[in-house]
Amino acid sequence: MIADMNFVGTIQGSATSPLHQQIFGAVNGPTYLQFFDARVKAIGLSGCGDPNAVACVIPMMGSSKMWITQNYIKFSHPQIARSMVVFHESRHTEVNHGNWGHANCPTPFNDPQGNPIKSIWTGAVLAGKPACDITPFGSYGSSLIMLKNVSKFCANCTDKVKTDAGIYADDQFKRIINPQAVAAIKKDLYSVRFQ
Amino acid sequence: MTRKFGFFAIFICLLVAVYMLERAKTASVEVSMSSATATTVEPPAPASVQPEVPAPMPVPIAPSPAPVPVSSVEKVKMLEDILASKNDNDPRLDSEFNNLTDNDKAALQKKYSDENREKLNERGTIVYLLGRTISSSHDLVFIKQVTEEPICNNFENCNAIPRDDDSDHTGANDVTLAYPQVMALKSLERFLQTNPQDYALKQQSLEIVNTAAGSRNDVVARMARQILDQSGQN
Repeated sequence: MIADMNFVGTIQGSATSPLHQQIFGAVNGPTYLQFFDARVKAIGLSGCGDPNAVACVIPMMGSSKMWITQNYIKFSHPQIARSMVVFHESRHTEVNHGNWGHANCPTPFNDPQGNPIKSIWTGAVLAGKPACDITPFGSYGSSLIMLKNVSKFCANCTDKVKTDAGIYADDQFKRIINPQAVAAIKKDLYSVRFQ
Repeated sequence: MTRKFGFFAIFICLLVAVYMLERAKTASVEVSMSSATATTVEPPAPASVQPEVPAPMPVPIAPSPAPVPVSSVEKVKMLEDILASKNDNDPRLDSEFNNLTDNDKAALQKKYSDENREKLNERGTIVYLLGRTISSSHDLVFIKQVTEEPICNNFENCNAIPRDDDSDHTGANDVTLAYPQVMALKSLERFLQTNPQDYALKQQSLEIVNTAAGSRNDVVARMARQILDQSGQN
């Protein structure tokens, strides 16, 4: 994780989307580290109550403490995906926003082609589960905005990092279910003005 | 009278001799000065009190060294080093794998098949590198094989029974479990976006995406459908 945070700390962006500016500031390594340090005061090892989890925040055990599981090392995630999880969880430390709790995914919960969105493991649909957000500023929204900005504007990232950032950001976007939030993110990052 | 004339003649001869001598001296100085003006631009260097240092020899300008060809074995070794570091931002990924020869591609494909299936980022990175240089039907055969691999159910053992999850803390997992396939499709997406002039390769690519759209792997199927939508094939 230290190596991953060192990597995040080196990021230099050539531009910044307005929502990113609002949440983090500029696309810039030190800005990201400052964001993280301001929220996460301690890191511990835990299983997070889920054999597939990589990291979590358990508010009843301290809202500013992030728990990392062994899967962080064991699972073979791309580096930007590991970083995304860390920043997703860091948003959950914010007590003054109710830890940015998730919303239940709608029923039915389909992709734009009309197919149910489901877990690759169990085949269980995400419909009705607390795995969605209704705002661009929650854990899913903020981390996808971070990654999409890295994908578009990182000036010193490899093409693989930028490609990965785009892939994971696009995947997380399906978790935003409020039409206004979707429109705001599309306007911020998916409109032609940034292409 | 004769004696006077003799003295006078001697006197005249001496005068002429002196005149000739003086003239010759003056002419010598004139030649010397005109010669100096014509050939010397800088004043003469003062006598040096230091030991004379030999002037540096001009350094011949060497031609830029040609890039040393890196063998396929060395390329795979380099990739192994990068993957072991878990640093996806290693700039060599952008610089050392751009012009892959057929031997390089074969070596990387072997590396892919030798890796455990659970090495998802490692295998996906290899697909990414190979997918950047699609230039033949053979390249697409490899990409097709990747997209048709069975679903990886579990990070510790792809063949194990799928684990249940809480759907939130595992948000990135769906994509990572299908990462080699996602990279294969991403490669095809990029290839198709270049509007390839080779009709056969384009059709072969679209067929792979079309097949992937019916994959049992939800992530693969969804991504393939998006690519078909973008390319106006759906």
